[in-house]
Amino acid sequence: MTVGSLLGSLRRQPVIAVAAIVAAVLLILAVAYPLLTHVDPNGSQLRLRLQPPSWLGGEGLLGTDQLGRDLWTRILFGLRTSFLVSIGACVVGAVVGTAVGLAAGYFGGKLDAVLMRITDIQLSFPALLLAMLVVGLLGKGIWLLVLILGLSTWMIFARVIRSAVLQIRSTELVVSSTSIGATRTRIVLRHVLPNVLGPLAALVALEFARIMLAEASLSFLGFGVEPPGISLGAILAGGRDYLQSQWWIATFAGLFLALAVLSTNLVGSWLQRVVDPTRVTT
Amino acid sequence: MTDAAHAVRTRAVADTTAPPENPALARVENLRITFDRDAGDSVSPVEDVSFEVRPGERLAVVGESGSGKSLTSLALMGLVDRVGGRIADHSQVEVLGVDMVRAPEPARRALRGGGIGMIFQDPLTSLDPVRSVGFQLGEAIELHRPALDKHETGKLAVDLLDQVRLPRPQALLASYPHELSGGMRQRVMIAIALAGDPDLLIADEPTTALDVTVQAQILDLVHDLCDERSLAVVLVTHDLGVVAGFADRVVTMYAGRIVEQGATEEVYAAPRHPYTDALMRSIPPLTHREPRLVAIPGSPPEPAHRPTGCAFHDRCGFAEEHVCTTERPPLTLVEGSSDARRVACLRLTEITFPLGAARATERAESTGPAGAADGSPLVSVRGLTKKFAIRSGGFGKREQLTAVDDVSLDIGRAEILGIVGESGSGKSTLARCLLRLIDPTSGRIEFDGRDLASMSARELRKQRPRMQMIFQDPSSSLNPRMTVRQTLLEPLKIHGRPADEQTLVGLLDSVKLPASALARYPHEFSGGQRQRIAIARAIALRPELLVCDEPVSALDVSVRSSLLNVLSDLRAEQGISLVFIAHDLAMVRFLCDRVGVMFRSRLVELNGNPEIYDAPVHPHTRALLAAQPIPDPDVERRRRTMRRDLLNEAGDPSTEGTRNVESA
Amino acid sequence: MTRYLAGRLGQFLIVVGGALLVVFILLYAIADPARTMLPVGTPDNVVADFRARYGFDQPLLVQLGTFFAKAVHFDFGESLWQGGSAIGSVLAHLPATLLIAIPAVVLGAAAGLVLGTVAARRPDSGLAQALNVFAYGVISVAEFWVGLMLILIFAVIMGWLPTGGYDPKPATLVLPVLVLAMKPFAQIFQLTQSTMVTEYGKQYVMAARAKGLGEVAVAREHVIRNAAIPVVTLGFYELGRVFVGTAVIVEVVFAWPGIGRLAVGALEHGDVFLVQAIVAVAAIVVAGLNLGADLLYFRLDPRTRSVLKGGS
Repeated sequence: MTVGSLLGSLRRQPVIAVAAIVAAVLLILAVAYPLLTHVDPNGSQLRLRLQPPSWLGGEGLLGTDQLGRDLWTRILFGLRTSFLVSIGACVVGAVVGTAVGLAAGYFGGKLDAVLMRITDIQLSFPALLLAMLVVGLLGKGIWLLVLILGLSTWMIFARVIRSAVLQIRSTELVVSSTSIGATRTRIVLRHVLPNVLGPLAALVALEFARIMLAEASLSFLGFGVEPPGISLGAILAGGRDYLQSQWWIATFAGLFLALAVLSTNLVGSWLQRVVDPTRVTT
Repeated sequence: MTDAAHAVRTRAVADTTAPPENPALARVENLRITFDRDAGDSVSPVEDVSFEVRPGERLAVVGESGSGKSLTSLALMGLVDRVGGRIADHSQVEVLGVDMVRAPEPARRALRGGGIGMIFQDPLTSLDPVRSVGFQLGEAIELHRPALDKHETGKLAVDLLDQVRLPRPQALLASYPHELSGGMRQRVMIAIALAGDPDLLIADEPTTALDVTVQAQILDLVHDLCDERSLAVVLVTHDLGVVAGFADRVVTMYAGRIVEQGATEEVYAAPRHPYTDALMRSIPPLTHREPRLVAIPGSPPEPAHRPTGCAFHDRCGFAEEHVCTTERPPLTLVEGSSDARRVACLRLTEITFPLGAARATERAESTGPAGAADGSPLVSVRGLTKKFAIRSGGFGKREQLTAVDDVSLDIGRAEILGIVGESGSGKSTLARCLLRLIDPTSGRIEFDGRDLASMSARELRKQRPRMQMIFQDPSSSLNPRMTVRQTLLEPLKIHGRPADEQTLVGLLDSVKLPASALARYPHEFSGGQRQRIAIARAIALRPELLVCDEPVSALDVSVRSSLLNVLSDLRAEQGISLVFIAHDLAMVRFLCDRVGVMFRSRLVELNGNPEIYDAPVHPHTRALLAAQPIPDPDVERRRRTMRRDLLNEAGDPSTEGTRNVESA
Repeated sequence: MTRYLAGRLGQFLIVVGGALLVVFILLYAIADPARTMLPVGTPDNVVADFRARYGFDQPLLVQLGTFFAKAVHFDFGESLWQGGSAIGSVLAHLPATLLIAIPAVVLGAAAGLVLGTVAARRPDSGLAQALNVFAYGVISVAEFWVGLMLILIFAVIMGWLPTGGYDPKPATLVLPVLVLAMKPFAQIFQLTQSTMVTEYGKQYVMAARAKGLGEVAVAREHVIRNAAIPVVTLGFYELGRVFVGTAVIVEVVFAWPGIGRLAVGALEHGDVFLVQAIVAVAAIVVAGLNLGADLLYFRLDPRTRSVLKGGS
């Protein structure tokens, strides 16, 4: 599967193409806007608190919150946090999970049994509860959050990579590479790894979306990002008390979160379909 | 069921020599099946097919992949729409008086499993894995014999299982498909197909997934059932040997059209279409050793990429520019032949087949390719044993499976050693042990005087260039993300050999591939070409030993012979020793100097070619030889009775209760 | 059979034990339980007394031994926040969670199963595509946001339903159950659809048609039976996930007094004993449901049965 054929397949899928564009625009906004704006996302102007959006006769593009902070600015800063945490956690989870999955799938035997038993245990362990527990005990911080969410996702990577490796191992690729004298390291890096990159990319997109939701949930519950850090989940938690009259606070923050998650989910699901290793082009 | 269907089902006397006015059981006219594709265009795997099936006759539809033969059989069942296909408006499919294209669904459904029974290629997947044999058989009986009560249904189920010669039918009803062997499953399928007391049985590659001895017995069973029940059979297959022993009449398909049809004897004695002729001559004979096989260039086209004019013209030795390349040949009656012999070739009257005519007479024993073994053997194997630990269930205790049991053999320099055996006999495990791609449990493998079995990994890697392997499925042994250039360079790089453009082109040349292949990826090639790439990679290091594990089994019949020639040339030109693992004794006869027979993990017989063919000693060798289909109707007819005795003597593997445990 | 059961039961115990071990390490080895429980700024001598009283001054291994010895008897200490035994407090909050979790999974699974089957029959139809987009939408939105939006619409604007709170009236159940049912619905919908499409591609389906079965009978007697095996199994896993995952959020949003909200409170109050009781119960319920899923799979698929029976 080349980049060219990926783009070609994208052209026939308008919904996915739109999703990819939305994801890209949100990413660019989240990265660029905080760098360019002069508005302080934490700068409260109590005079302007709880203003509706300017197009409803209020203040700012999306209105202001209970402390008079500009909601549009805060949402984009929150989005930046979401992306940052998700990218970090995905990197942690993907690196750890891929290494474990490759080792378990390729070497098999006892190592495989032990590693898979560990993923079993963690998979049946309540992940959200564990994350709340760690944050509750060890304190709040963005890097701790990245680590916890990363470690809550590694076993999914490990499982998928392992089964992809097993699928490749069931073909004759590995034994034929052994027969030309390739070392184990070479086989794993040159033959197995490149062939699991497809499923890996798809999984990154799907897990990315899932982690974004998990971060928002934790922040909503008060176990995530703490002020002055800004998170969409925390904005929503703040808006919850003003649902009666200031509906825009919770609505817009959630809408942006949903847009970001939905677009990456759609791209991920599409990637999963086109790079399905069981559908090797013949 | 409609009245019309009833009328036809009051059986006509089965007689293959019946006069032509005898109403046909099934009639296919101008069948065209089209699929719409995602890209917006459409393809027609079946373009224009017409034939009829007469009561009680055995008709074979022969073709390779992409010929449209299986879709044609689905059309007879009225099931084309279920796979997303569309039958053209001008097409007619009529079975037992029912229009299988346009009749209302209930009328067509009544015929399925009733007037027409069907069995499929893979008995492993054609039974529902979560339903018992009794349920699946009973379901068919209840559908088509609604008058029977529960007790009678049960009795009939037992009776049907008995008719397909399954032992202990009563106990079998409670078992699940995965508990049965492949042969038993296919027998259950046949019992289900017989449940509605059909007049027509459609068998789509019914034995392709089975071992050769099981295949012989399933075919004999169907053959007998035809006689007993005056049942007509449409056998869809790619195997000309199977057809010869089975069919009264044969229809050959190529690229969605019929290219030749006629009585089996006549077609086999003197094929008139260049494709049929080339196909017959490309199959190595079991009776003697050919010095070289007739090779057909190229490979059968995919439905979306068929050549214009006669679809075979690009592979045909007789094709004429501006005639065959532009005009579709009509299916025309052959002058002076009996029984509606038809051929679709524009040059039918112009060409004669000198080689085809000579084939019957040329029976002189040739000595085969030169290159006799000299002096010390290259490989000497003693007491090789491989046991696998298999787990039963998650925490189950470990059990052992002996895949290779105490095998000893020598491989001479520049010798070709054939290893034959059925699935699960241990031949593939033996091949991998020979090169120590898997570690043997015990025994010695001396390669040029040094024991591979006790060698360290580092030492072994140094020896790797001297011994190479090619595998059954080239698409899974090549890395899909590497170009041919990268693929060929890899072994050279690993072992620090110089690799210039010249070397790579030379490698491709020795497997008859153009230099332009270097920049392309494996998926851009056909199966046969991919196997050539795999061979080129294997010989890149100039090995002394090449182990080939079923190298042509996954390929179409018409591309096999040219690959066998390539392997034969490797020994003749480069002096490479070959181990050729196969289940087809005819291919082994062509290629090999000596032949070993594996049976239940043991090497039961090892002898020279032709000795092992002329005087087989072990009962299993004799059974394999007897079961091997020969593409000659006369010979097959004579062999059938002899075969039955031999196979009975060797035990009937197709009715054995244990599952085949696949080794390695 | 018994060997499989014993093995699977052993795995259950390992999971529960592993969860307890992780909790112990977090609560006692990494964090300081006394400082966690006592308010910030508590004098050192009070902390020391507190340590001595609960045995936190003992060597870690001794504490671990005591912890597990008590855990076997479901003794996790007294809740400082709620008062009374910690496990008793958890069990008192359990029914409220089950009251919304079980209907939610049943509802979500039923809807997912039916709509997934419908979508699988005609994967290219507009309906199937609309359902697919809907399922992706459902997976992609945060439950707490949907909860808030539903409250905004149905409680604040329309005034049809209460905004939250525990009340035996069925009306209070509607919104929490609906929000909790979202993820199970989407997961089961997607799995049903893909499994059914895969099953329809298998040869036994064509063989069943060739037998003369109509499409309805093919689906009812063969395809659904095969597809049900992974789907039903997933249903059990989903129940576990809902129980400890989404329930926390939904209970907070709807002020529902289940064990999820109890967990949030326990963590906010630094109630170590209550936290460990909650984790223990959650682990037992989740691992128990997973065990149930595996046993069900084992029951439903004849292939697993006789492989173990025959042992070959």
